[in-house]
Amino acid sequence: MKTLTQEFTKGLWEQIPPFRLVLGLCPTLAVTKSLEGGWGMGLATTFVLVCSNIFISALRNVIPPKVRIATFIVIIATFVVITELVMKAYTPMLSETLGVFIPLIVVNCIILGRAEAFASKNGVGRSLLDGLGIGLGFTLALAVLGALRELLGTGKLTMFAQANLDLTIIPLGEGREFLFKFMVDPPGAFVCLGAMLLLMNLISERSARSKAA
Amino acid sequence: MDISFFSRGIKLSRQVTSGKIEQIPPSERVVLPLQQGSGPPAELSIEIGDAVEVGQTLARGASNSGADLHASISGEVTAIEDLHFPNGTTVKALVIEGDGKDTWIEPDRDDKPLIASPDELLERIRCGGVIREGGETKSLAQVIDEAMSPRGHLFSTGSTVAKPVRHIAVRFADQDPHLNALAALTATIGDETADLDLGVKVLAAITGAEQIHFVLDNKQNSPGVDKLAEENDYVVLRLDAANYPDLSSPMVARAVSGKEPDTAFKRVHENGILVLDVDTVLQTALAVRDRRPVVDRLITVYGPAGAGVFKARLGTPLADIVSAAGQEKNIGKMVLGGPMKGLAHHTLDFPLTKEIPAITLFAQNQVTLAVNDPCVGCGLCAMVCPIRLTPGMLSRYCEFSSWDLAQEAHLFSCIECGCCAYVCPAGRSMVQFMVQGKTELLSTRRSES
Amino acid sequence: MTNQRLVVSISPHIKNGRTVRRMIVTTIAALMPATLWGFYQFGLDAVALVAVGITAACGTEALISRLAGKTSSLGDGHAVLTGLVLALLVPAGAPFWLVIVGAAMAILVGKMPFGPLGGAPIYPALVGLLIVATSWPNEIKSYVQPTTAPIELKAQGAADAEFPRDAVLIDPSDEAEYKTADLFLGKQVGPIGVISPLLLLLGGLFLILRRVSRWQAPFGFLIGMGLAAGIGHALDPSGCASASFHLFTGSAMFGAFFLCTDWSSTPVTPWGMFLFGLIGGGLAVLLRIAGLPYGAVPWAIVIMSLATPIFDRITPTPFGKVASHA
Repeated sequence: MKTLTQEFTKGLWEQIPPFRLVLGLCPTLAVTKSLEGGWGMGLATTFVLVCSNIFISALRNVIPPKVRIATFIVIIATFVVITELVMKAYTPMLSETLGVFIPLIVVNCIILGRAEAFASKNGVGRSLLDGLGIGLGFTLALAVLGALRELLGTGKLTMFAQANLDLTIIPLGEGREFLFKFMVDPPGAFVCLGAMLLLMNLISERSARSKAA
Repeated sequence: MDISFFSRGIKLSRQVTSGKIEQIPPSERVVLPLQQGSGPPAELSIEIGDAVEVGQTLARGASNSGADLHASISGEVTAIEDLHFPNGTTVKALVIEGDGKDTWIEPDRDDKPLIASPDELLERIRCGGVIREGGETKSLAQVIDEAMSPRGHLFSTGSTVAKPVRHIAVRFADQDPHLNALAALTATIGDETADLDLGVKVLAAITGAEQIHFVLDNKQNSPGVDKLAEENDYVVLRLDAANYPDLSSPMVARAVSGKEPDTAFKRVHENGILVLDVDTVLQTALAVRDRRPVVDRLITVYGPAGAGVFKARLGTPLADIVSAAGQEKNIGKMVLGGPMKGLAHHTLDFPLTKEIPAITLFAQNQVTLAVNDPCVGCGLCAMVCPIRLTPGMLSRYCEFSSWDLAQEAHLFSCIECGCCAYVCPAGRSMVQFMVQGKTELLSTRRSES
Repeated sequence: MTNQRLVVSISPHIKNGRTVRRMIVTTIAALMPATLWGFYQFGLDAVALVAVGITAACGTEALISRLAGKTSSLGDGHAVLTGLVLALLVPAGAPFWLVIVGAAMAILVGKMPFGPLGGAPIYPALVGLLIVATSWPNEIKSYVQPTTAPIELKAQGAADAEFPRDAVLIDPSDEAEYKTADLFLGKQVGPIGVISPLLLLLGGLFLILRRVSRWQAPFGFLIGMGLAAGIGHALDPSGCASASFHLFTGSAMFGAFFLCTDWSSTPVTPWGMFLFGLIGGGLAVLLRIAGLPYGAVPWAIVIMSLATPIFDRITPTPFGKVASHA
């Protein structure tokens, strides 16, 4: 049995969703054109994940096993709608950037996966920490990927477009929009994700080797 | 429709024959393996210590499909020893120590063999120890048996399905253009075609073949054979031996019948077409008329110093033949057979058997080892494959143990001619992969049934 | 009796001595006439770009091999070929960094992730080219006036609309300005290595005669292009240039003889190769007419490459088997 701290921290490295579990790839590839898209998507998912984990673990003894998936989806959809409406109201620009991928959180396999594999078998406290850890790990991964792609692709980092918090890291010439456009194109997402996976495996392989030595 | 014009097969350089066959004198000691061809081994009919004469039967082949084994020198049978074959099996072999007299047994000649019944003729072929060469070596009796009752007797009905053999094709040149034993033999036949005539007629009488074809290389000059064909209405076909493997059995079968035989499981002869080397036909004639068994054979020795054709007694150590050919120096590799299809053996300490059509020698600096890089997908193998397979893909299936996929891609149709490996720029041992795949699939099938 | 141990190996015991390296060197040699023509037309800039492309490709491959701890595969010459093909497909006015990034991407994204030679599903040089072409659409069109072009290159930056960087942007009513013979002999504007259909055709035929490549894919490609353009021109002469114009401009010849004949990214069965070329050629014309902003031929070939496993299923009926009517 893991300690409560471990339940939280496992999502940040050893089970970090897109790289280790290779789950939730659809938003990972689609919204990481910018740093803002990355963390925005990550936080929205985290909120839904935490809330749905709490509810599902609280109701886990009530839900009949035969209809559990349908029940999970109803619970998840509730929070997704809340998220979507709140984002439309308070962060309209971010909502615009993420577009259809916010409603699509309903079918995000990370959330359903955690509900099925974890929340329906564990207590509320553990489920909360698990959801928070996994969610923040997802946010971290998306933000890193988004930052990398945006920096290489356009030379900028959009922290939060609504508050005009953009940083220009590499200044471009007059009338130029892109530094290396391939990186913000869809194929660039695959290449970047592949590179990140390579890096993750390399690091854990190195550390495992040094531990063994 | 095939749109791969002018590209099947490969061009090899042709050995020009001098038409000379050198006799190698009987050896002091011969080793004769009981296993001949792919059938069961022959059963011993003499005892250790017996004195034997040349041509005396030493062992009897299986009743309907084997071939007998005969003493190739006169002397005393001294021992039975184990002999390691290049294909990995170990076989019992008889050892005869010669007395140097070379006395022959008296055969009872039959000057009118054609009035004998087909069964009688087949029995004489079996007793003569004739082995079919080229393709899979089997006893000729067995080949004829299979050709006439293809697989019918395998089913549990018990009755054999008789199937007529429509064509017999006699090959007057070696499949591998590097070898020239058959061409030399054809040249020595000259105008004395009586044996050839008889052999062909005997085979036609046994099998009931409708049409006889003489298959020659287009560079061969053979007025005697042409004349015989004209007199008897045989078809003479001239193929380009340099275009390997145009003289292999399936290709010859296509050329004579106009129809492509199925090559799976090496059963070309079950498609109503029997492809035989001229050597085998002459042995047949001797076996039925003179009752002279097979005690010697023709062999090409092809090495760095050129090619020569020799006739040696069976069981002669290969080292003797190699030194008679003057090629014993600096040997790095020895192949039993031609360079395209032969089996390499690790030592010269091996007797001449009925299955060995040639010895190919490589000097030490000529020996190259397989590189076996990954397939680069260049498609050259698919271009040259005479069977129209995609060898590159097959080799990958076999490399990664996807046997079922390989079978679906017609792995069993492969005739192992080696064209794909010959052209492969990545140096892959394609034939190795094919043979491995076939072996795996057959052993699974055997364990399932 | 000798107890000598001899080498044992599987048949065949002889080979025709052909190696991957030699085949690649032959391909490079076949590209040389067109390359030299490009050097003659575009001068030292072109020479420098080709040199940079080859160096960048080799450098990247050496670096990756070293980092991944593999033995270097530079010896087979594939990196040289990749760099050369990439450089030949960019115009002489392109900046150096464009070629460097392209060559590096070709090796890094197009070749090395797929393991040893023979794994790449798309021709690596095309991967590099299309990455830089989509990233820097203006730089990839920095065409310069060749020494012997019959027409003047108009204002440098705005030259786009007037020049046959690919046949699509030519107003077909201007076609009379270009003599087909001039186009065929290589007096046209375009990337360094592709402006001479004649020399590319000769190089391609050399490869086919040397049995390095097969005729099916290149001629299928040319037939496909010719058919599609011919039909298009017959239906709408103002919307589609004639077949000869399509065949002799842009990278049509180059694509047919040097891109459609790649190893791992194209089919190997006879009909597979032919259909690959035929459909690819038609697609290229379609992309030109539909107004793809850049590189109709490279895109068409890349799209077809992705379908290669399907074409490879069109195997001929093996010897002695009855054709299945599945």
